[in-house]
Amino acid sequence: MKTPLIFTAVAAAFFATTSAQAWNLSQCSETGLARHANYSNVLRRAKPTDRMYVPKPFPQNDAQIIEDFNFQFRYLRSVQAPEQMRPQEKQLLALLNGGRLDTKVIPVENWTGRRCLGARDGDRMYLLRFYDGRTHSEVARATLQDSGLMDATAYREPGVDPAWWTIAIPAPDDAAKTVGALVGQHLIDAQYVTTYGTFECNALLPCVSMRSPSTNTTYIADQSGHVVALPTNAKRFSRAHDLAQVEDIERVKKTLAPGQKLMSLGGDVYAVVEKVK
Amino acid sequence: MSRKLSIHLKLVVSIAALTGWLMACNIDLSPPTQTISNQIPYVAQETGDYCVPASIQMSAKFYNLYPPTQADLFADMGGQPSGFGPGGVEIGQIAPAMALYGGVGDAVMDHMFFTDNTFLARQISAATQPSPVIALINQGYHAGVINGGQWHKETDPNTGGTMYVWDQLHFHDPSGGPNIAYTAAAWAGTNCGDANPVCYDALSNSAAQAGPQVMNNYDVVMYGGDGGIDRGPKEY
Repeated sequence: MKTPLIFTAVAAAFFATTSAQAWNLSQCSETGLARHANYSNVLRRAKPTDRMYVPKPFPQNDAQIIEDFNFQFRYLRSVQAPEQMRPQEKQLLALLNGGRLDTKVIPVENWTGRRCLGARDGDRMYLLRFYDGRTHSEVARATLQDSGLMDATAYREPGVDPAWWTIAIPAPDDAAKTVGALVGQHLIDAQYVTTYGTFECNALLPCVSMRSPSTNTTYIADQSGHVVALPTNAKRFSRAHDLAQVEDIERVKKTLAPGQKLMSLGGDVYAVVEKVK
Repeated sequence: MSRKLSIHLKLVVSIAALTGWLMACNIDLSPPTQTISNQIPYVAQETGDYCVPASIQMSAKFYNLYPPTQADLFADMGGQPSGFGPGGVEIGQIAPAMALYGGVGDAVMDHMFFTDNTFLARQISAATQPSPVIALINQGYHAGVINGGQWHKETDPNTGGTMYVWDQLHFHDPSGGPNIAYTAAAWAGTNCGDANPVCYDALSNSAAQAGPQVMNNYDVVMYGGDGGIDRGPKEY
């Protein structure tokens, strides 16, 4: 098994995770933090036979993130008969076992309503992009929690529209330049984010959030060209109190003006964002 | 009685006796692991608001029906661009449209908090019939269709009995692609769990009720969970 390790190490060195400036706009409650801490302790003590075991709980670098994914993916395939695997699962397993899988790790800040609320949901997620080492084509994507636990995995399949593997994910700083030119401001601290709401950013195709220090406004751009603005004084709602059920969401949405959308900031907070483009 | 007939008779009697014994002892003859694909055709949503119409179309195509266009379905459900429910369709419109256009005549909108641990049992009961399930995800802002999943059996270390591990679920996301695989614990956070108490799905009422009674004694846990917080619904 030397070859996969070499490839993993090379991929990890090549795609270094940069996350020093991660930020968010809402705080978790004491209850949420305690729940997540309890869960984290259970995860750190888990044994390889446990259902929530990962070899590197709360991975610290790309190599550890990739190791956690590989362990869980291999486990899920190990409890399947080969004939029951989907072709895309077989392909990914073959690339992994054959040492031909290149993996790129992208940190995505978790601004969804799950952050702080779910015990297993942390401040950050990781997007893993998997490439066939020979053809360099992207064959799958997966998201991991900051704990290293798997979330969702998407495979390149025929007939997918939109074909996500053809949609470029620009570097955060490049997105900040593009949006900055659009709004005529200098934007900083660009990072990938995932959100819920009527302005939704799937972690498999994350948005970019960035700040304008001069106007105290946050901008969020998705990968389809849409941009929304979040001023500091934007109206905010509590998920637990204002948006607890779909009927509540419907009631709140009826109060929004044209061009306004609801977007989660993480924790219990949803905010009204304004369409820019 | 000829020797040949005698052998056949013995064989038939043996099989009958064995079957009777297995049934009487409630021996589990299910395979040790299973991956279920419902072969529901995938449909992408044509605009940011059309996740529900795309889901209705998937349901209809599963039954080889020819559904209206997404725009017509959206209009028929009273949808409004950037409107009020999941993708602009009010929640109360989904099940009637699923019944009228999606081929699920007894479609209902199931809605429970996670404290009711039969919600996921009904959902998986319907999905494994198989029958389309339109599940709301991401705290009620998006919808798609369940296309199957994966489970396997283990020995429960506490009881020594058979334990069913729900490994993952396959979800047709109209804006994300077909067969997005969620680990079971991740699905609970996405659709109905401690991170997502907004639990809704539209499904066949009869299909939803068919499974839990049969599976009442099953011992189910979720992969990716810790066996406590994320222990699966007992009824499934």
